[in-house]
Amino acid sequence: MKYNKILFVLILPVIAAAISGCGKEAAIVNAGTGPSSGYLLESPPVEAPGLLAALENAQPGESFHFTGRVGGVREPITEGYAAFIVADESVVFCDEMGEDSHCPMPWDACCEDPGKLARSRALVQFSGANGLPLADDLTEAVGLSANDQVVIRGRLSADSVPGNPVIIAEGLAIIP
Amino acid sequence: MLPFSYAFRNLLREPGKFLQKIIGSALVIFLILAAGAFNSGMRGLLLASGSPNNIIFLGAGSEESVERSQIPMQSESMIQAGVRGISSRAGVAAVSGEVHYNGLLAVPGSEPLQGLTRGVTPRAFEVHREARLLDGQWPASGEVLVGRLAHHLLGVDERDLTIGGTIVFEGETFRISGRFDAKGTVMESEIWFNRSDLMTMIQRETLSCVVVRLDDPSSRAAADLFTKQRLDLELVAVAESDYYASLSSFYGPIRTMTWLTAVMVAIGAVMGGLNMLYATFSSRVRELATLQTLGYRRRAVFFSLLQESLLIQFIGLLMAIVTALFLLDGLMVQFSVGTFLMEISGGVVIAGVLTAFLLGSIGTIPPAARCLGKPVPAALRSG
Repeated sequence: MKYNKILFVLILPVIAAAISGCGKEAAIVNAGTGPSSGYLLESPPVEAPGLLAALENAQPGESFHFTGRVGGVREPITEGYAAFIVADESVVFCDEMGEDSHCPMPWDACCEDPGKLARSRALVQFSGANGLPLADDLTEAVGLSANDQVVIRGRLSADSVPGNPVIIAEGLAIIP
Repeated sequence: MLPFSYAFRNLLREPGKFLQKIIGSALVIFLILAAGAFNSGMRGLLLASGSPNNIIFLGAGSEESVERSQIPMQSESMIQAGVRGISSRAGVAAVSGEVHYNGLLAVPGSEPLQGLTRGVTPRAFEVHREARLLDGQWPASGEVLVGRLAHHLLGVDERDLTIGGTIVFEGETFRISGRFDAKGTVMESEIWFNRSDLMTMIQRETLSCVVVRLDDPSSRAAADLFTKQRLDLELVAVAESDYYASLSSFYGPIRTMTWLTAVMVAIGAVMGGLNMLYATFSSRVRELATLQTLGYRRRAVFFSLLQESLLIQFIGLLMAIVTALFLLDGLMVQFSVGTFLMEISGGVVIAGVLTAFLLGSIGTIPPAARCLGKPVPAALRSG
């Protein structure tokens, strides 16, 4: 009887860990798998073209670098997936207009011409070996936040269509 | 301690004042119950209207109002194909492209009133699982489904909206083909049109929103990811529960106003009540001093006064609850997005009990302290 109790006490944490592990796994469905580290570029280029210039010369399957700002929509970073929206540097964010704090979400570029904004954004996503976006949170993993200026290395996804570019990222660097 | 019967007998010494105190107390508590029932009814309606499994795809920038939102027609099929984790029954995916429109509605012979209309397809029932057809059938062209409480919004009798009856919308007459309910949600006050009919009537080529039901609420990240993968559609994905929670916050000032009004009137009544208690206790200064000379401690006399006051409040509380149950419970109140039932719930009753307790206890302290604060010889000589 006494041994049973000891055995129970020893097994309990193992069961608890297994149950909590199951819950975490179930939180995101149909996601790619891959390491949550390794998002950051080891040696980001000193100079990189803007998003639009890079897209003009991009060939499907070829890697390229570009710079941009995290924004262009209200919530540019996807919670639960390693993906975010980046806008070309030519897009004027509200905090660049010289009227401090006139907009609570300056990164959504709500004062920019909607047509120009629509042409100057892209989705950047980290995908796993199965091609699906990684289930991770870049805010937690690398400290990415809206309005950050970033340098990205990636290639154009085969799913990209004009006006809707998707970039499969290989790494990123946040410019301080 | 003074016996409880002493406090009880004192209540009936002056029946006129006793009645006055009880009515005053009942009025204050009734106001608090009314404010509580109004607030919990409105909040309950809006919170019940949002299912945690449902995601609403709206036009970017129209997150606050589905009526203002416009999204392309093809979004419906694209969302169905692109979002993972969508629930389905018998092979039918729970994806409902809808048109929401606030228009003028009337039954023949009545004045047109603003009402909420929704243009839907039969798949609306796959998404809004709380909605069910009570009787009749799905509307064909030229027909509508009416919500169980729609007659309140149109200001007509329930019998005017029976199957076979007619509704006038934008100058056209529509036959009522069925009735539906949707347990305590805003949908119960709506009129559902065949989507093509409504789009034709209001000359619209876009949807207001696409509502999808997910198998697991935690898959909502997949919906958000889709909106970012299809930036060209200019969509945002909002959890239905969050949408109605924000709508509830929008109506927050109205709810605050009802509380403020109730509290302001209550404060006025409390002041009047305090005045009366001051007068009542002052006329009994000698009596209270005599009790002290007989050996009762000040604390015991104060406790007896507290008992008297609490007794009055609890009789007032009973009156207020009974009156509220008769007058307020189940009363329907209309506001811009629907009709809610005022409900004297457990929480509302607890608010009433607390009010009664606070009125009886805190309200007794100042007049009692004034009367019992005097030295006994001085108190015996007073009056």
